[in-house]
Amino acid sequence: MEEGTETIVRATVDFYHDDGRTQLAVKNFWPVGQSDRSEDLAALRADLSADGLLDAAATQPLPEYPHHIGVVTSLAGSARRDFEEAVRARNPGVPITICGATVQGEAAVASLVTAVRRLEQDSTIDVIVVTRGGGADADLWCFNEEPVVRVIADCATPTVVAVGHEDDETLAEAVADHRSMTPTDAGVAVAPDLASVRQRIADIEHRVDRAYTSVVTDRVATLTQRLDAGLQTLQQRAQAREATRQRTADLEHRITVAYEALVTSRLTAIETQLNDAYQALEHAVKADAVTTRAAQRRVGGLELRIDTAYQARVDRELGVLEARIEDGYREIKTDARVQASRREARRLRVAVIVLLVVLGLTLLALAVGVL
Amino acid sequence: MSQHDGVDIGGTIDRLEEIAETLEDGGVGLETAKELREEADEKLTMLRDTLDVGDGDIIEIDGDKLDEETAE
Repeated sequence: MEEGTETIVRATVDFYHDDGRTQLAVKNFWPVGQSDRSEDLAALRADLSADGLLDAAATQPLPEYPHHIGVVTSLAGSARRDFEEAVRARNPGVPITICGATVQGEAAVASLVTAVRRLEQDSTIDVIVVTRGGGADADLWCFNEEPVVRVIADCATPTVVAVGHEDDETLAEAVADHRSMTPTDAGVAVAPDLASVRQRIADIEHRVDRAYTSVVTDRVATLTQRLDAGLQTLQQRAQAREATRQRTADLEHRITVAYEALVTSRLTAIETQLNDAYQALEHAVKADAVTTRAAQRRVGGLELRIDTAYQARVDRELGVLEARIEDGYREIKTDARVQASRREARRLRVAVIVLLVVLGLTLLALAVGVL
Repeated sequence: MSQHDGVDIGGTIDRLEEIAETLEDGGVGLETAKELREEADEKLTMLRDTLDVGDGDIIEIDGDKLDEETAE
């Protein structure tokens, strides 16, 4: 601004009564005749709003981890340095393309539009930052110019605008996807803090390690318990099997011993019985032989006695009969005697026959009784 | 050259968070746990390789020359 230019100033006045000084603290100023810009600004804001360019819902999210940052700023300004330092402090690896532009004055609008379009055409750039340091409203006015505002609004690439003042928002900031107060803030907004990212990754790694170890430990403990239980079961089964085997062996031994004892006992008893039976039989045979011999002897004696008695009887009877026959014969000589003798003789013969039959039956009965 | 061409850092970190939560829940078997652990190790290595790089390039474009090119 040239000396002598009439200017409208926005300022505060401080008066120090101790020494009578007065201080004017200028916050903003603009040449007389340009104050009607506020009306132009309101009109453009209304148009942008009508076009939906001021809708918060229309803003795009910034990439969480940008691959390539594009910056429109003055190559020689402190804003560039502040932005670079902020980005490098947080994410030194991300490449930055800085497209130099005039950021104040009459040439600023065209320069800013050209620079933004240039970066928008670069497909590797995934966020565009338009920034400059603070200044008077007149210096920053180019960020309210419609070409600049619309080229930023038309960007398919997410945009950040940081024009270094906090009091008033320029229209470029209003249409951007993100507004930052300062170039440093813009660097913080677009560059993730890799230290935090690394710390987060380290935390996740620690959690994964701890959780994995816990899972493995738990599973191994569970498997170990199952193995122990299985081993114990197997041991119990083996012990039961051994006990059964031992019991079986004992039973087998007992059965063998008992069987042998039983068989021996039975055989002995049978043998004894056989021996006793044999002896009894032998004794019976001997007794029978003795009895037989005794019976034979008795029969023989009886036979002799019978024969003797019979012979004696027969002899006696024959003697009697012979005598009687003799007597009868002598009487034959007479008829009467003869006839009588004959009848007597027949009667005697019958008696003899009866006696012989009785004798025979007696002998037969004796013989049957002996047997 | 980007510092992480082809690597979705945010997606990879989200997946690592998911793996950590799954393991922390403890409802997985040994085989699954081992697979998750191997996947986590692979992704952690990839992330470190991606993030452990030197300073990125700074490319300057002179806007005044762009104006001249545009004018031409």
